[in-house]
Amino acid sequence: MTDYNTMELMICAAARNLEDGASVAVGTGAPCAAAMLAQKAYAPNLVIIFEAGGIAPLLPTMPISVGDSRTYYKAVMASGMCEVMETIQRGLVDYCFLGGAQIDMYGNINSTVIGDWEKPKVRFPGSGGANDFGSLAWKIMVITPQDARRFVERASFITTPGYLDGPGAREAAGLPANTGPHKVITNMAVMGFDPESKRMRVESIHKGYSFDDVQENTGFELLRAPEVVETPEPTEEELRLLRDEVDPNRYIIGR
Amino acid sequence: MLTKYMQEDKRMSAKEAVERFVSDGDSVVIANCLYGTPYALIHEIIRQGRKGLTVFQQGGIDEIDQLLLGGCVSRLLMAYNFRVAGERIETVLERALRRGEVEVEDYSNYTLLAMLQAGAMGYPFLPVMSGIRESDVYRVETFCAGQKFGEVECPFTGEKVVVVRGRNPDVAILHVQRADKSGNAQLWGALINSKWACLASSRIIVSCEQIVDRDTIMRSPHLTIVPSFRVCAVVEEPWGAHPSELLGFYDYDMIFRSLFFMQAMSEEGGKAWMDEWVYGVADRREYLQHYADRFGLRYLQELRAKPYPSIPADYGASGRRAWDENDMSFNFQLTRDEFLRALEEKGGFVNG
Repeated sequence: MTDYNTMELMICAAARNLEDGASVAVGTGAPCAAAMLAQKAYAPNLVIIFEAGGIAPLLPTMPISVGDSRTYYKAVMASGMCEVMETIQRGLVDYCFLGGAQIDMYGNINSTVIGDWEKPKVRFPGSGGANDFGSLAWKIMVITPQDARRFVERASFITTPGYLDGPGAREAAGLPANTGPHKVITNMAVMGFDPESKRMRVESIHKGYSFDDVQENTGFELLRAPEVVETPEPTEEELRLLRDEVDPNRYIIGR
Repeated sequence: MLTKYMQEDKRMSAKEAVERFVSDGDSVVIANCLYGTPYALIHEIIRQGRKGLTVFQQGGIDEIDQLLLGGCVSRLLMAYNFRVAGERIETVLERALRRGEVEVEDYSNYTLLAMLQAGAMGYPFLPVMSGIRESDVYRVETFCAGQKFGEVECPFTGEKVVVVRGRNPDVAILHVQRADKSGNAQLWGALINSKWACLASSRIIVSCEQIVDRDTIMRSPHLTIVPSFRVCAVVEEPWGAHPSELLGFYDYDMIFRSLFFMQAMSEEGGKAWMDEWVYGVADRREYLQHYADRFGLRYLQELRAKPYPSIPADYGASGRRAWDENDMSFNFQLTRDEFLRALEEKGGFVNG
């Protein structure tokens, strides 16, 4: 068996969702690593989009911000934020990755504030493009640690709508049909959303963890997919690409 | 008013530009974010002690923190401001919010940008994506209460559309790779919000790495992000965006940035950083000198970009005219009169 760490497993689990020819909007960190890995391993025609305006760059190394010069390196287009937002508004972005301080059972995300709004307990960075992307990309993905403080019954501030309060709510709110949260990838499991109830459900569990472990670190009742499997481990080739080409300095995957 | 800023030479120091064009109480938009951040101009605004500014910020790293430490900002319209550390650390923004020193109005990236886009286009409002209506970003209002978002009925479909108000900040500050002395400013790399932020604003201050001659601008007009007739000041300021980055010039200086964040975790540390890097230097030249003294010039040189030049666009045209000096066509062997007569009789040459 190959040795790998949790971050490597999470990145591989995310990367495998990205099929060749799809378009994906990423930020920095693990999502960017996942997109780079997918592009090198199985999706050479993946279109990576950065909200600052870089379209389909061949990233030489990990960027540290979405406006990093690397996001323009060997890009096919150097545009600005409006052009990217127009692209997503036209339904041309398949996947996007979002982060946040809280995610709830319907995939609503808080990346703005904990506590009173005006005198906050913790003030997070704010929406940035999260609301725009999360509202209009087809499939929203999240990579985050499994932690009951993060996985809460109801996000105390909704920065980005998920399935809001259940089936039909997104559509009723005027958001495009068939869009919404897709996968939530943590250090313990990969979760999706039940097609009927739109609630978060466990789909695969990483080696060494049980459903109960995942549930204990979640602040609401998780559903189970009809078949809950063990998350496939990273392959030798995925690990080689990840370590040698995607993140040779090990900023994201660690040492 | 197209001819407002028509002087041939608008070069001046950052000090003079801020003295003349930024006043207490102004609304200011930082027209580069994440990339090419106009730190030289930001630091000059702080040094001159501007107060009561309303700042539009698309995505801040540490520049908003520095303006807050300088006591310059009373209102902030923003989509994002980087948070460096864990929840136990009090950030500069949190400190200012808890003390009631600043009011924040939250937007998403597009809804903030759309206000400037509308302002630049001269529209009273602009539709934005409806997803914002389902968020608390929409519901929570502070100093923009009643003016933050609106809703109109689409006259064509009857659909309810969320709109934002067009905004025209008093001043935009922008850093670019090059400009000529009258202010034709050329920027490449991450264009993010730069164009709309500038064009929405009444006054634009440009700082640049290099002042170039007009011919350089005219040979690559596609790189011009703001034309000179909109620009009121041009400041030549090498390393003017340090510690952010600028393609073709320098990479970001991560270690230096970390220094700020580490110090700014405490109030005293933040003040000490400001004393050292903003108040303790007279201008960007002294800032660079101080950097060289403290860390060594070699380290700064390490950040220099390696060349990867763009292939020039060919702006050539044949320059050939349809009729020669005798009014003879070069391809039809007809004079212009014969051509016009034939056109009248036959209605065209499509079928001979």
